[in-house]
Amino acid sequence: MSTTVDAAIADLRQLGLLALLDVLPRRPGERPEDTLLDLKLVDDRALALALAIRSGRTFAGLRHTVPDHRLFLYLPLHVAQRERIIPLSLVENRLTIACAYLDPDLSAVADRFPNLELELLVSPRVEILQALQRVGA
Amino acid sequence: MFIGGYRVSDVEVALASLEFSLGQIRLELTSLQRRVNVDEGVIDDQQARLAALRTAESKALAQVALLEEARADSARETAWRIEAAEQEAAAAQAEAQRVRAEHDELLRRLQELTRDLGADDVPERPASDEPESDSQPTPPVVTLLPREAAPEPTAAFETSVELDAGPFDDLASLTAFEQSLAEVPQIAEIYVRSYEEGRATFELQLREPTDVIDAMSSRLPYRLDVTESDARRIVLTVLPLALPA
Repeated sequence: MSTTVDAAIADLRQLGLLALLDVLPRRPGERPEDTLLDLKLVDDRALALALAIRSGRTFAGLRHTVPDHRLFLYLPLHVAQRERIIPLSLVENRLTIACAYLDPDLSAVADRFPNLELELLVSPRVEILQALQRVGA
Repeated sequence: MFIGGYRVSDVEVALASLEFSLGQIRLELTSLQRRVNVDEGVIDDQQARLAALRTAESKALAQVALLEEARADSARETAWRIEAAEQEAAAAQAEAQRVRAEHDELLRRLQELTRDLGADDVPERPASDEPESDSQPTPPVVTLLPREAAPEPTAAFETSVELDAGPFDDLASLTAFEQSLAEVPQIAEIYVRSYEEGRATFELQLREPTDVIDAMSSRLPYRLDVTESDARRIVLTVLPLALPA
């Protein structure tokens, strides 16, 4: 997984979006993606696209997306906020989840609903957070 | 002289009587002791059984709680699925009505066009519904029949258009195409809605209803093969044009 993230970051560097990354120290215990986003070295959408293309996952833009609040029966809101993920749909036994990162901790969902099949998409972090804010609105 | 006191025989009788009573009491005491021992054993047994029953009760309560939780989960899931299925059915019904209305509208327009051209011998239904006759000449209005393949380019699009384009093998090619789109003056806003297996879906906001395919063809450094288009959606294959030497 880390290799994929590194490859995606390399893509962004080639596009000239990460000119400052080489001179910035990594913050210990933090995802490199978070460093890039928090320091605004790259925008969420470009990073999500790079991660999606590199990992072979589907990219999904979430602008104006209002998630179905019933899906939070399967994926608790506090887990969604902590892991930067959001449930998008449930068809048969397949729960589709948009993630800001490639490796969210979904053990709480897998333990509680072992028969659910989880499909992970990649979405911009800021759009996930905005969509989560719309849940309670 | 009379000396007062007890006679030996009387004392011996009294002592014998006392010893007899004492023996009776001892026997009774022994019997009671045995009964107490037996009762204590029974009490111990009952206490052991009570403890076992309490353990079984707590296990049963835990199982009931688990079953209740599983049942609640299952009920929630079932309710959600029923609701989703109902919504899907309603959407399908609405879509069917829309398609039916569109079909009726197309038939109506076909009849109007037929009337306008004065082709009285054109059937109202598609030709395949009626037997063909060799003696009749082929009507000259065959092109009026609905064509499903080879979509005609739409002259003017709505201001909100979905553009499905590809292939883009990497981030660089996708970004380059997006930047090229941004240079088309008729396009006010571009939003990447999705990307999957090399194809991206863009949401384009146009400044006004216009022929955006024509605008893109003249501006973009790509060859655009349009495979499908209507007023709201365009599907095209993107091929970069070779740069002049």
